[in-house]
Amino acid sequence: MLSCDAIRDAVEEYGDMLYRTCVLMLGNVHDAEDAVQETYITYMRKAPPFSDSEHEKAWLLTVAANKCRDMLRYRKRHITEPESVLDTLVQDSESSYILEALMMLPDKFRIVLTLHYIDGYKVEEIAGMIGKSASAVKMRLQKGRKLLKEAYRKE
Amino acid sequence: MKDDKLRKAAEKITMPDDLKNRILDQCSEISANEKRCGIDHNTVSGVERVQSHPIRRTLTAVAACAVLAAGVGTGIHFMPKSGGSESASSTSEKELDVDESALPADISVIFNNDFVCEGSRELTEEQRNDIKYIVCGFDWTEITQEEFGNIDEADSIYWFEAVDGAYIYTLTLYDNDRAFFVRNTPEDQSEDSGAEVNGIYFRVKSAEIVEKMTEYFSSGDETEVPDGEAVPPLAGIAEREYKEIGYSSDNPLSEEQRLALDKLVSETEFRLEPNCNAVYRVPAYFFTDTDAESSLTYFYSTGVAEVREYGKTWFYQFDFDKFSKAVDEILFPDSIYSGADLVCRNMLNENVTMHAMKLCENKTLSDEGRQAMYSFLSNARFRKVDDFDDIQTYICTPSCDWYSRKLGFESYDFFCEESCWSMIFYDCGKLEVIDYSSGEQEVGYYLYDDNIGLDTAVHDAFPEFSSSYPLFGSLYKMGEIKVNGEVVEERMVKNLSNAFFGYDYSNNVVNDSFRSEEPVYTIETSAMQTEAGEEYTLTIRVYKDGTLEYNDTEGKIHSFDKLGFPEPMGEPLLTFDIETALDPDFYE
Repeated sequence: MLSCDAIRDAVEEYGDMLYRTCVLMLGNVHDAEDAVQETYITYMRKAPPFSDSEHEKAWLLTVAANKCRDMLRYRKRHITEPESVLDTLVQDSESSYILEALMMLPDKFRIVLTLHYIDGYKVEEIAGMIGKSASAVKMRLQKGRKLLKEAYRKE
Repeated sequence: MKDDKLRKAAEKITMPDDLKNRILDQCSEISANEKRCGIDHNTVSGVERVQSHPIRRTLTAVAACAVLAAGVGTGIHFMPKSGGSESASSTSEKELDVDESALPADISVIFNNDFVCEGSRELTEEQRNDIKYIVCGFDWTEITQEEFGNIDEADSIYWFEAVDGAYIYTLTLYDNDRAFFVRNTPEDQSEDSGAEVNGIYFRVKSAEIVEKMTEYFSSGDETEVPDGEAVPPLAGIAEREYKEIGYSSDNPLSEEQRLALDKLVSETEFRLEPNCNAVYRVPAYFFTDTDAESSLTYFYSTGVAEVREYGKTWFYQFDFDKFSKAVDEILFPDSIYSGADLVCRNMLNENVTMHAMKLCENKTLSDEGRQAMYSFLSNARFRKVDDFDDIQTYICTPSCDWYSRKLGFESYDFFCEESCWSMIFYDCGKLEVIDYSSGEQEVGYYLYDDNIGLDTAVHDAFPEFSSSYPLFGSLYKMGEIKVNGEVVEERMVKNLSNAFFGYDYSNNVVNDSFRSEEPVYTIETSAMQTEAGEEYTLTIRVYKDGTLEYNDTEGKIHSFDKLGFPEPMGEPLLTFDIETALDPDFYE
C-alpha cells in the first residue's frame, strides 16, 4: 500500500488533470469528485509499480476514465438530474461557452475529444483506452469536432 | 474554433482544495486502520448506488407450488458431506457450531427468513441451516457499489433470496472467486427506478464457497427413480404450448421452435439416472408448458436435465455443449450469424488493403492471411448481443505491449480503410464489427466461442506475430495449472499465460534434460493426450537468470537463454509478470 505522502504527491501532480477529465466526461461535479477520490484510493491500495511518470499518469487516467464509464453506464439505466457545473468552475464566459458546448455532446464524442484535445492522447492510445478501433476513434473525433463547432456557434 | 481554445478553457478547471483534503484524510484513515488492525477493511467510500437487477426467472404461484410439491413428494434430502450419512439430528448439533457472529449483521438476516433459491424453489429448514453453516465459514468484506460493479446474474451458479420487510436479500455465487451478498429494496431492483438507493454489498473472494456448496448439494442421498414410465425432457412439446423462462421475461415458443426442439430432444441421448446433483444450481435453460405449468424441464450446464411433472422428478445426463448450440440456434434464430455474414465485402478483394493490428503492432494482411481469416469466419458461429459492458481495456502507452499484456488485455483488430470497416476480436470471446461506409457508424456486438480457431487463423495469417507466441501454446487453454505444486486460481491463469507472450522464441536450444539448477518457478499442466494417444504433462521451468525451459511431447527440452524485454521497461519482465499474475493483490 502506498504511503499518504506518495498520495499527496500524486494529488499535487495529477489531481487537476484527473478532476478536469472526470468533470468533462461526467458533466457532474459530485460524480467527478467521487471518481477522482476512488481513483486515488485504488491507487493507494494497489500501489502498482511504474517505470516512469508517464506510466503513472496513464494508469491514473485510465482508472479514472474506467470509473467514469461505469458511472455513465449507470446513468443509462437511471435517470439523473442534469447539472450545470461550469458556471461555478470557470469564471470567464468565453471559456465557459466552449466547455458548455463540449458538455452538450453525446458521451462518446465528448470522451474522445477530452482525451485527445485536453489530455493530449493520441488516437491509438485513446483506442486502447476506450476499447474501440483507431478508425472508430478517428471517426468520433471527426464527427465530434463537427458537432462541437455547431454547438459552439449556438452558444 | 481552435483546438487550443478548448484545452485552455479546460485548464481553468482545477481540483478544489476540499476534495484534495478529503482524499488525503481518507488515505490517512485507511493507513491508520491498516496499522491498527493489520487487515484490509475495504473502507472505500463511494457513491452508494444499486445497479438494476434483472428480474429473476420465477415461476407463477401455480408452478412454484408444483415445484414445492415435487420436491417434498420425492423426498429429496440433503446432508453436508462432512455429516456423511448421519441422522437428521446432526443438523441441530451443527447449528450449535455455527458462529453466526462471523457474519456481518446484514448477511445474518437472510438466514432468519425463509429464503428460496433459483426459480422460487424452496429450501427445507435443514437445508437452510446447512447453507448457513457453509456461508459462515468465510470472511465477508463490505464493498462499495462501484466495487460490486456490473454483475451479470445470468452467469451465476447459485442464487438465494429472502424478503424481510422492506428489503430483499440476495446471495449470489459464481464459479470463480466471486460471491456476493446484496441488500436492497424492490424499488432498487426495478429497471425504471431512478431513485438513489442505499444498497449494501458484501463479497467473499474465494472459489471455495462454490466448491463447498456444490459438494454439499452433490452429497445428498440419491433420489429414487419414480415408479412408472419416465417422462422425457420437454415432454409433449410438439403438441402443447411451451415457453422458455428467461431472466427478464417469459418467451413463448413458436410452433416451429417447438417442433425443432422436439426433434432435437429425440435426437439427443438422455440417460436416465438417480441424480440430484444439479438441483439448486442456476439452470442454463428452463422450459415449462404454458397452460398448467405442470411440466417443467431444466437443462443445467453440468450436463444434467431435470424433468418435473405432477410431483415426480427424473434426472438425465446428456451432452450439454452440443445440445446448447442447437438450442441457441432454435431460440435465437435472428441472433446467430455465420462469420461470412459479418465479413467485409472486400475482404477477399486483392485490390483493397486489409490491415490487422494486435495490441499496437500493425500488419498488412497477405493473400494467405485473408484466406485464413475468411475461412475461419465462414465456419465460425456468432451470436448477436445488444452491447458489451465488461470489456476491460487499458491505455496503450509507449510500452503498450508490456502494459496491455500486464493487464491481461489482448485483441485482434482487422480493418479496411477503403471500405470503412473494422472487426475487433477480443480474446474473451467477443467481437465488435464497425461499419461506417454509409457515413454513419454502425456497430454490431457478437459473442463467439471458437477462440482456438481464431488463434489458429491469426497465426496462419500472421507468421510474424508468431515469433512472440510461446512454442508450448497458451496455458489458459490447458485446464488446471500448477505453479510450484500449487493449483493456480482460474483468474490468474490467463495472466500467467500472457506472461509468456512477447519473448523471442527463435533462440531455441534443444537438450535431453532439464538443467540441474533449482528453478524459481515450475509450471505444470494436468495430463494431456498427445496426437499419438500418449499421456503428456507440459512442464515449464523458469530460472533465476530468466532462462526458460519446457519439455515437448517427445521428451525434448527446449531452452531459451535470453528473453527479450520490451523497452522502455528494461527490467526482468518475465519474473515481474509471473509474480504479478500470481499476486492476489493484483486482482483486488
